[in-house]
Amino acid sequence: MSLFSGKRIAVIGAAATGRAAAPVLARQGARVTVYDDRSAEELGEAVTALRDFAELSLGDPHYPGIEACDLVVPSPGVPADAPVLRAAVERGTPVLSEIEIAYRIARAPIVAVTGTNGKTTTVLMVAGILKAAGRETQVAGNTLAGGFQVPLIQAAETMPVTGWIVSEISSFQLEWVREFRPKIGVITNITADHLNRHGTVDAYVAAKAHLLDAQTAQEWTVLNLDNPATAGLMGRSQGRLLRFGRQPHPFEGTWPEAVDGRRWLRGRVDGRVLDLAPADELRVPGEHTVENALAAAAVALAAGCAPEEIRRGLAEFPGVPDRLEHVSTINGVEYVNNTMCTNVDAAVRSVEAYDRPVVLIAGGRDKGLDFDPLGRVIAERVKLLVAIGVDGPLIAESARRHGFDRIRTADSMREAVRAAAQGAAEGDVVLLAPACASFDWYRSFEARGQDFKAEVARLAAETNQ
Amino acid sequence: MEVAREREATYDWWLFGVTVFLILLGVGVVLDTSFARALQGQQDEWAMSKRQGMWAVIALITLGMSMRTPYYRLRKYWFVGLMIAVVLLALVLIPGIGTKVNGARRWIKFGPVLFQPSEFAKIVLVFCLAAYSEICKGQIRKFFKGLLPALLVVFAISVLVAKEDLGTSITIMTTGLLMLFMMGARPAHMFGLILLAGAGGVVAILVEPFRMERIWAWLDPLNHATGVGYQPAQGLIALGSGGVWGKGIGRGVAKHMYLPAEHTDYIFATIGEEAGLMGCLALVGVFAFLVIRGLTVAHRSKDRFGSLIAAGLTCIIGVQAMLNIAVVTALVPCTGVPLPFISYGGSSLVFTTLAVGIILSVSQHSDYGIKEARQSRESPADRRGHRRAHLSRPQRRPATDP
Repeated sequence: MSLFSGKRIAVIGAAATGRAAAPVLARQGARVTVYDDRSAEELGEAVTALRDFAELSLGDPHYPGIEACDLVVPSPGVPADAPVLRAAVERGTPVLSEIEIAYRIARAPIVAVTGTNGKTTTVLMVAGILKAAGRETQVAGNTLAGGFQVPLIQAAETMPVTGWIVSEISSFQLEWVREFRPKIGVITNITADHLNRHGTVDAYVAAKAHLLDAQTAQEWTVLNLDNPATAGLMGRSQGRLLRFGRQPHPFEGTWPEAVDGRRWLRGRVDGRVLDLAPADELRVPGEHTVENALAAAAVALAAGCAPEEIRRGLAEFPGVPDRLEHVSTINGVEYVNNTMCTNVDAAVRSVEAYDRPVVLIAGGRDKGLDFDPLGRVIAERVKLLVAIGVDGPLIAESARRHGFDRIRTADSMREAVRAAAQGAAEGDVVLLAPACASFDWYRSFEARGQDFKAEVARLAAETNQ
Repeated sequence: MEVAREREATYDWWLFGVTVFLILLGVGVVLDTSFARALQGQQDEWAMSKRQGMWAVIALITLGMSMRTPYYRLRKYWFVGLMIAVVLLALVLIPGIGTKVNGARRWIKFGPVLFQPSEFAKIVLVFCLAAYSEICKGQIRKFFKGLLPALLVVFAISVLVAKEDLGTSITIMTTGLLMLFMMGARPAHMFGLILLAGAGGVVAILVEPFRMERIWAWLDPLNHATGVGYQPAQGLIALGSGGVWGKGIGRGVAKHMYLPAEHTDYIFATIGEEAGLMGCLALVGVFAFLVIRGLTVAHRSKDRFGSLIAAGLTCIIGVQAMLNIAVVTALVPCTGVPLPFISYGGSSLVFTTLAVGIILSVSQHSDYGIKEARQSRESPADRRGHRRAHLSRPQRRPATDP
């Protein structure tokens, strides 16, 4: 008998999470009602399929009938302090997120990756290594795998006990967990992003830490030694700790080290030190890539992979679209799309990834962050800054404060790409690393990336004539 | 990046194949027996075969259509279906409305077509029990709160059917008990119920005198061969005279005026005479294979409701086949149920095939939500799932990028 059998469950939100959770819960024998305060017309066709196995309550912000439900499953888009959830808590109704339910029904072990930056790359690297080791693997969560997004609850339902689920988890999903216990939990780093939602850094750290709260000595926790926030969580974890860092360390975990003149990723587990993979075999440049690889290698060690398998998996990793994605080379200038970079820290690291001169296109809609570190790096390393978007001027301002004045402003991506091309010489890199959200000009950051690539293609076509 | 994906739910083509095979086999066997009737001068030699052939076509169409219909769409109609079934079962008992065939009033005549409400009731009952499994919220282990309502429904249907069709009543009772067991009822309760059902069966026999006579006939058919034991005796003789390899297809003697119901309830004896022990074992093997496939579909289905449906419908077919064969081989006293797919008769054929179609639907559609979600994934609004709403109406603005 499933623990959801016959229970009345309210799923709040008819987007990707709700639409994945509703059928899974229905299959477990629950009576599901999907709530959304958008109307049926707004939601469109995708929602009509839900009627076959769930009740739908759309367009009513009072959520009628929710008091009668035995369990509430909110989508991550619903804020934690929303009245409907507070009321449920007061009534004593359990509120559980999709990932909690996924954990309860999953048979396969889960690798859960969270953190401010590097989640997707780490997830895909881990999946690549596990596949190279011959394990049946499913990538889940926000990371797209082969163009599809597979919500964790869906992977949990379908994967057999011999498989592995590798999932990116967000701090929103972690707000409503109780027993969620990944076999291997990873926090890549915690930096000041998303401040406008979580209010303070402490609240943000607390949310991410839920990932490891239920872990026991049977599970593994992978944490970043160099990041103050994650390092601070090491005492909190009851799982077996694996640390990764930029310098060799005496603990179980991974680090980079020069071996016979070549930089290797090395690991220690059960007292043995192993050479895992040479850093130069990674296809994507940058120190942050090495960090992601170290985290992925630590996960692979916990999962019982052999060094050759780790090496093969990492060497075959092609990189992630929209993250330092090579677009093309025109007249010896490399054009790189890093539209995924939506916070300052990511932008700083992507600029630092290159030791060639960088022409930086940055700006968009500010998220309330401090651009000063970016301004400093621009002054130190960037050849030319092309500021775009509503808040591009804020970045320009920050750069000026550090004595930088090679700045141009553009009102469109086309203008920006042309301006960048003018300012770049052979051997340089034109890098789109906006450090901001895309919603001032675009529907999504992917759309921004697509536009950049289109403009680069247009430029290439014109150049060849 | 290519990553492994677990097998999607797909049609169980083995089950489909076995069913089509059995339908066609049934037409062939009926063809075989229809010649005997023709020689008796009763009718055109093709008449029965043509009718059965027509029913086979209708059955195949039903199979195709029911496979493609997502079974879970029927879930909300379980109560309505139950009411209709009960009404029809009551109606058929009324002399003006129900029609007698061979002394049993089991059919309602709609023009040229004879429809058997008990066939419909069997399928509806499976749906009801499966739906009940969720409604009772896991209380099935408790006798009064969980098990009893379901039992009463099963019992009520069985009683309505029992008057005219004890065999189908037994099938229903057995399937009901099996399903309740699968839903998690306590073994102690089940055991008690089996004893009760046995007692009920004894009562049913004592109540109708002709059934008592059948008991004597069953216990010693050959000594009653000229009286009530005629049919079972002829059945045994036919089976026995087939030997190991049978007399040959078409060469059976029993069907020529000796064996009653040689084309319906006793068709297994005809097969035994003509195809011998080997033929019988092969046929039993085919039915066993069908049951295994049906239970495999139930096992693989991730949907609990679908799983119970598939298992329950498989039980109906399997129990009925076993009961028919048990009667013919005199393991069980005469009750008379058709052999699924093989016995002549349209109502039974179409509804049995419908049951298989629903099992196939479970095999294909039990992962609802996944296939549709894959198709709609191209819409950009979905690709990033975590958007916090500003609480302003009506536009929901995403607050951040990941």
